[in-house]
Parts: sequence; structure tokens; C-alpha cells
Amino acid sequence: MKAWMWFVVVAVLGAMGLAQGLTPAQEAWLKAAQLGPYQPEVEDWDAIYQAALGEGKVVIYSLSSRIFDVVEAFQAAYPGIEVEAYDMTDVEQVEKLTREQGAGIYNVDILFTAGITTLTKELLPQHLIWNYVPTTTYDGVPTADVIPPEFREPLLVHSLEAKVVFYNYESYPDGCPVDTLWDLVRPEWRGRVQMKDPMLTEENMNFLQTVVQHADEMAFAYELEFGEPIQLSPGCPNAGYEFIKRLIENGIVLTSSDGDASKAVGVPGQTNPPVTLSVASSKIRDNARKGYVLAIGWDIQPRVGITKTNFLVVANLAPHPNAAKLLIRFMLGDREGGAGFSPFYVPGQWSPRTDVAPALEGVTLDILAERTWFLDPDWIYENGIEVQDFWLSLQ
Amino acid sequence: MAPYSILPMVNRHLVKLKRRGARLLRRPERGWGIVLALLLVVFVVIPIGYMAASSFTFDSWGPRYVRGAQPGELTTFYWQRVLTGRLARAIFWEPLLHSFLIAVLMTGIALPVGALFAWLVARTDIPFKGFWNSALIVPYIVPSWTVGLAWLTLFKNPQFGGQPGLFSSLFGSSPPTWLGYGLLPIVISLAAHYVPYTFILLRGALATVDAQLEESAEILGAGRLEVLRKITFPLVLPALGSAFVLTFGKGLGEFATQAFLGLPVRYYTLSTRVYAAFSNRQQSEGYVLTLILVLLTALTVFANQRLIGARKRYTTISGKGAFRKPVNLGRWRTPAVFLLGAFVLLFVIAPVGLIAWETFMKFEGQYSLSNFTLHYWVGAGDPLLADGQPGIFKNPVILGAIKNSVLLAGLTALASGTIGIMLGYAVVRTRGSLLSRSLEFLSFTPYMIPGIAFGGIYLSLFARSWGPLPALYGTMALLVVTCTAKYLPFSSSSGISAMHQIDPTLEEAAELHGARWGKRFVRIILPLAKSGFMSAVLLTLITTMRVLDLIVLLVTPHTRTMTSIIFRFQQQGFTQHAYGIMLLIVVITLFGHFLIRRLGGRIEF
Repeated sequence: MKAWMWFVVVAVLGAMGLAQGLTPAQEAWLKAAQLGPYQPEVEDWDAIYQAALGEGKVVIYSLSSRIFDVVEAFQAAYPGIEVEAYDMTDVEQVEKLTREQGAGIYNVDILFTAGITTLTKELLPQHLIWNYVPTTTYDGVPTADVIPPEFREPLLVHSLEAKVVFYNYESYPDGCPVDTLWDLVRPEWRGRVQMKDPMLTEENMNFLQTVVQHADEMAFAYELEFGEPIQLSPGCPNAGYEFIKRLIENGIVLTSSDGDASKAVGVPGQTNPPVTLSVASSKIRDNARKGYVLAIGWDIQPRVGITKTNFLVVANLAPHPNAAKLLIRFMLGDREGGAGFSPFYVPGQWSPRTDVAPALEGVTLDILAERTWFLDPDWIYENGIEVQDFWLSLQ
Repeated sequence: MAPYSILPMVNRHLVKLKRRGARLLRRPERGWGIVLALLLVVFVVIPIGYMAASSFTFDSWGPRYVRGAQPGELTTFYWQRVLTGRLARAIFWEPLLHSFLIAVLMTGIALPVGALFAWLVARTDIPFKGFWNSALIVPYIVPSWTVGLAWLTLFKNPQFGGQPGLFSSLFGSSPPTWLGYGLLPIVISLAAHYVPYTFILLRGALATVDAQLEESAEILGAGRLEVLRKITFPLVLPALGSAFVLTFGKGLGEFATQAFLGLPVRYYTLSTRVYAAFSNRQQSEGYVLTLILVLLTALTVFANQRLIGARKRYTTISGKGAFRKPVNLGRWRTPAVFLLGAFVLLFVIAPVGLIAWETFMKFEGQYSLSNFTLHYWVGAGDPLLADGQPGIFKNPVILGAIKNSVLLAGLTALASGTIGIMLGYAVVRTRGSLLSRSLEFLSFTPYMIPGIAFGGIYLSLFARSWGPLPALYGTMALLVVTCTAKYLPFSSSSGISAMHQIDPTLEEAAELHGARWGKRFVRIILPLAKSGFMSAVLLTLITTMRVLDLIVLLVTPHTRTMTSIIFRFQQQGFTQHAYGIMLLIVVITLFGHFLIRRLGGRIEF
């Protein structure tokens, strides 16, 4: 091995080692920015605005281009602070952040991102990101009163989205043609279930992993549907794996995007349309935008899919921490939704605030928690690879 | 030792050095080659070394795979996993077979078809030359999956949902799945997409072939086919060789079409596996697969070198007044027009028309007159359509991005065109040497590294100042450097094939007359290599106009490009906007094509 390769290895190891404890620079930054252990009980928002004016701008990496609508509203609410927004996928954000910080560049203040496992199991413990929860919301309510603790810790949740089974309600006016996930492996659905390739997006692999995690629920649902306990195939340790195996054997169609799958299901005028698996619930908006006829099979046993969370986190050594605080509080919106949240206040997307009515009529956060599985990053971090490799072994 | 005995020795050395220096000045291609090699070391070898080193260390996913593993720790885990592990078949061997099949078949189609088209347009009396010249490059300007999309519009099987394909609407029966998805449509779509490669590269090479050579053969009684086979073909062989390497490499590495038409039937290829690894940040595995791709391309480059190198060298540019008379197609004229027309109809007008039509639809996919709108081009925002995104020409974000894309593509094309010609000169003039071979190979490697990985490595390596290099973070310069390095293969390959065509005696003659090297290069080499140079500039221009994942980590709001916006709009479901910008890219690129041909003098006669 060449000397410089050793240098790279040592540098990487060194960076990892440092990440465990706080550097003096981090300590000083936390103190000056009043973040982490130094966040006061009561935050003086006028003072924060004054400090933010001194910073002049705030930089945010966002997983949605709807951020640009927030930018305008924010700059109107806080003149003198410029927002620099980048839209990038969650993976690109992590990639950019780690590479920038690895090169000693501190460019970004806020990540508006998803990918709970990477965030909570890698970036947070390495102090590449910090959690920040404003003490009060934009409409002056104590945050703890309106956002449940599980959406404040370990990281602040900006919004929730489900990944669900869609069906075509024009072809199936009497409701969802499948009432259990196990229907999807029946012969009549052969080649008629579509999802984005789980190898292309961690979210969908998370769906499969979560199915395995809740194998007992899957086994129970099987018995409910077929009236007898499930017979596991060789190589399938539980009902979750069995489901994945049969899904593949039944010719599941993999697409390169959620949009391809929802389009295949949602276009009107079809006689025998397919259904989706693990497609973003916000695709329901395409009914209004594109004339699709999509509906969500909320009553599917054991669950219709998973719920993923989008987070607002502060980047390590963020250069504009006060402006970042303002923007994070602004983006959480108010009880009406609010200018900071309105671009995300859409059917199929939920605010973590209990006082905000759901945009998808009738589907409250409680119903969401009942009808979908929430992701468990600890379980996924420990056991997820086995599910991924099981999936790969069946290809 | 006594001091007086040292002096002669020093003197001898000085004389030697002086002589060497003088030789370098007279024939600087060696020195120049060394400078270029140094550049390639910085911009190619180091990134490759970085990948190689990383492929032997645990990445951030390491602890998930191996309990207790530390990221950064040395390991052969990933190589074992890919090559020999339990999943090796699924991750590597089967995708490799698929990729190889695709590359062989699509090159087997694209190369002869592109060559035929180039010959027809450049050498014969086929009518409407101007039109063919522009139309035949369009399949490469639009993203590769647009042909796939057009294909599906014809052959989609209703089982896959959405709008049924025309075939099943017309005949009432479902076309077989293999016609809609999998190997066959991938090969056809990719072949159509890469026909312009061969077309552009050979068009330039054919234009410089002296028709007197062909005429002499004809006078000596050779048939038309014999002339093609024995005269024309050997003369353009270097250009054909580089077209082969470029196309074959793309067959192995192209992602979008292979995912779009392959995934639904779970037809995995090496590139879909590589892409999957990087889109999950499983970098070390991605690097292993990428290095294998690089190696495979190295083999094709090597094979190409052997093929070209083993032959007697034919130079076509002799400096004598070239005599150009188009070949009379005679009764083949109509069939030839028909052939080109069919290709243009199927692979240019159909996909581009489909895209264009879509931009005038208020609601996507409803083909009725009442659905017609100009909203997505000139409308002010309407909250009910595309989340209130204003029409393309009213949208400041899009307009800014157009400027950036044009600037980036222009600068990259210029930079890489220049370097490519210099590289070509150094490679051809030092042919057979280790320097020559390594230059050619090195300039090709970036071609096979997936954009997202290449961009990431460049962000790590060149964002901050590094030796004499200033910090490039957030500048257009970083984008230009990255794109230039990534697309060097276009210009180096056309530079090399162009240089192969130029008779070295021309330069030697000038040298005898005391012309300095700089003068020789500017006055003799450059003008003669012009058409090769222009092909390189054109290919780079088109590719950079479409660049996306390569620069996604490097762009700042001030350096956003059109394709990054297309990508976002597509994700958001703003199809009409996305397609509209795509059309703009086609129009702008064709205009660039027109300019290049005007400024560069006419490539053809």
C-alpha cells in the first residue's frame, strides 16, 4: 500500500475518533449559538432575529423543491435575511454534508431531510448534525404542548408521509380490491403489484425490513385471511420473509420511481389496473393535478404500509445558527398550517403538530399510527442488512 | 577527487541537458505528454486511487454488515462480497452478463448504422444534407430514456398499467412482455441513442478523406463496395475504433434506460447495481463495481489500441489539395433517403414530438384539443397546475439555469476540446511508448465512473485548496474542471483519431523550413485536425448540456443547471415543465451545433 493511502486511512480513522467527543471548536460554537446543552429555557426571539440579521443569510439543503415557496414567505416575514436553498435528495444531502465537513468546509445550516436510520444512528452520534427544537412555535405556543415528544427527540420532525398501497377507484368503485397484504401474493395479482425498486431507495427497503420486523403481525394476518397458520418455505425464518419471497415469485413489477408506479395505477380508463406497494401517500395529489383516480387502501391488514418522517436538523458548526433557528421555527408553521408550512400542508403529508387538522380529510396522526408501521431505526440498523441480502438472494 | 576533474563532468552533463532541452523545444510532444500525464495523475489517477483505497475500507454502512466494524478500517469484505460471496451471482455475475450482452448487441447495431449514416451524409449526393446533419444527432441530445418512453407508447402491455400501448389498442391483443421490457427494448433504445456517436465521429473523419484515393481505385477497376472496404474503411478505422470504445463503454455504463426498461422485469445490469449502491451510500461496494467497469473499459481501449496499432498507418491528410466529389448514389438514392427518413421518424420525430405534445397538455396524457394550453410555456403561475410554477419563459429560476447550462457546456467543450487535441497529438506522435499508452488509457477511465461517485470524489479532493490548486468550492470552475475530466474521453478519442489521419511529413516539412513548434501546431496541425476537433467539441457540448448527477453535489444556487431543474420537476410530477426544458435543450444544442459548424468552417463539403 502506498504511503498516501495510509494517510487517507489514518485521516478517516482520525475523523471517526474525533467524532466521539466534542472538539473545542464545537464546544465554542454550541455555546455561542446557544444550541444543544446551551439552549436556554426561554428563547428571546427578538434577540435571535437581531443576531440573525448580523449573520445575513441561512443555507438549507432540502429534499423538496417546495422549499422555494417557503423562501419567499420567510424573506417577507424576516427582511434582511437571505435564504439560500438547495434541493437535493436525502442521500445527496448526507453525501454533500459529510464530504464538505471532511474537507473543512462549513457551508450549510439546516438539513431538511429524511432517512431516519442514517440520521439517528450515524450523523447524530458523530455530531455531524444537532437537534434543535424551538421552545415556542411561530404562533407563540410552547412547542412541547403541540408536538409530541417522539417527534421532538432524538430529532425534530417537520412532517410525516406514508408509503402506501394505492388502487384505482374508478375500476374498483366498491373499495380497495385487496384487504390484506397477503392478497398481493395471490395468483390474480400476479405481475400486477408495482413498487419502486427497494435497492434504489432505502425507504422501500425499510418497508420490507419493517414487514420482517412485524412478522408476527404478518403471520396473524395470514391466518385471518386463509384460516390456517402459515407454512414457511425453507430459508424463510418467519412470515415477513415468506411474504417477501412470495411477492417476488408473484412477479412484482419494480419501477425506477414512485411516479411510474402511481401513474400505472392511477391513470383512468383501465380495465384491470395494478396496485402499488410502498408509494408516497402525497401522490394522492395527482388526482387533482393530473386527473388520476388514486385511492389509498387504508383498511389493508395488517397495515397499509409505513410512515416515514422528514426532519429539520442543524448542521454541525453551522455558520448562521440564529437565522437557522428562525427558519426552523418558521417552517413548523402555526395551528392553521401557516406560511412556513403551507407548501407541505397537502393531502398525504402530515404536520407533527397535534393542533393542525390533517390535510387528508379524516386521517389523523392517530389513525396514521394505527394503520401504518412507524420506522424503527434501531431494529433496521441491527437487522436491516439481512432483509436486504435476502431480497438480493432472490433476484 | 581533484576539483579539475569535476568540471568536465559537470560540463558534459550541462551539454547533455542542453541538448535534451533543445530536443524538447524542437519536438515538444514528449514534454507536453509529460505535462498532460501530470494533469491526468492529479485529475484521474488520484481519484481512481481514492476509489481503490476506499474499496478496501469499511464505509459508513460497514457496521451494519459486520458487527463491530469501524468505518475506515481495512478490509477485503466488499471484494469478496461482490466476486465470490453468497450474493455474488445476484450482485455481480448475472448483471455483468446482462451488461455485456447489452453492450455487444447495441454496439453491433449502433456502429454500422451510424457509420452508414455518416457515409451517406458526408460522402454521397443524398439530398437534404443540412437536415440530416442536424436531425441525426438529436437522438443523443434527448435523454436516452425518451426513446424508451416512445417505445413503450407502442408496445406497452396492459398488465403494466397506465395508458395501454398503441399496439394493444390497435390489435386488441397484448404484445408479449419481452417486446416491452427487458433486453430487446433496452438494446434498441440504446442503439438509437448512440447512433449519433458514430455518426458525429465518422462524419468528421470521412470529411477529410481525399476522394482522389477512392477515384483512383475506381479507375483501377474496383467496384463501389470494394472501394469502401479497401480504401475508405481502413482510412476511417481510427475514428471507428474510438466510436466503438465510446459506444461499448456506454452500453456497459448507461443507467437510466436500463433501469426504466429493465427493472419492471427485474433485468439487472452492472450499471443499475452500481447506481443502487451509490443511491444508498453503500460506497465501498459501489467503488468495487465501478473499478470492475473501469477495468472492462480498459480492456476495450487496449483491444482498440492493438487493432489500430497492428495495422499499417494510413494518413488521409496529405496536404495536397483534396479533391471532393460526392459519390453518386444512383438508384440507391431513394432507398437511402427512405432509410434515413424512417430512422428520423422513429427515433427523432416520434420521441421529440411526444415530448413536445405533452408540454401543450393542460393535464398530462389527455390527447384532446380542449386540453391544449400554452400555460406551461408562457403562463403566469396557477396554483392548481404544477403547484403554481410559472411557465418556462416567465420563470426566473429556469432562465438563470439556461444561462448556466450554456456557460458550463461552452466552457467545458472548449477546455476539453483543446486538451483532447493536445492529448491526441502527444499520444499519436509518441505512439508505441509507455507514455502514449498510459495517456490514452488514463484519459478514458473517468468515462466509466458513475457521475455521482465522480462528483463526490471531486468534492472531497478539490473543494479546498490543495497544493498549488486554489479552493474551488462553489465556483463554476469546479464544475468545468469536473465535467472536463469526466468527458475527456470524447475529445481525447476524437483527438487521437484525428491525429492518426494527419501525415507527419507535413510537419516535418515545416520543421525543415525552420518553423517553430508553436507555429507548426497552430498553422498546420490545428487547421487539419479541425473536423476532428469539432466532433469532440460537439459531443462534449451535447453531453454537458445534459449533465446531472455528476454535478449535483457541486452546484450551488448560483450554478444550477437546466437538467437539475428537469430532475426536480419530474420528481415533483411537473411533467410539462420538465419536457419543455428538455425541448429547450434540444433547440439550444442544435443552435450550438449550427454555430460550431459555421465558426469552425464547414466540416463537410
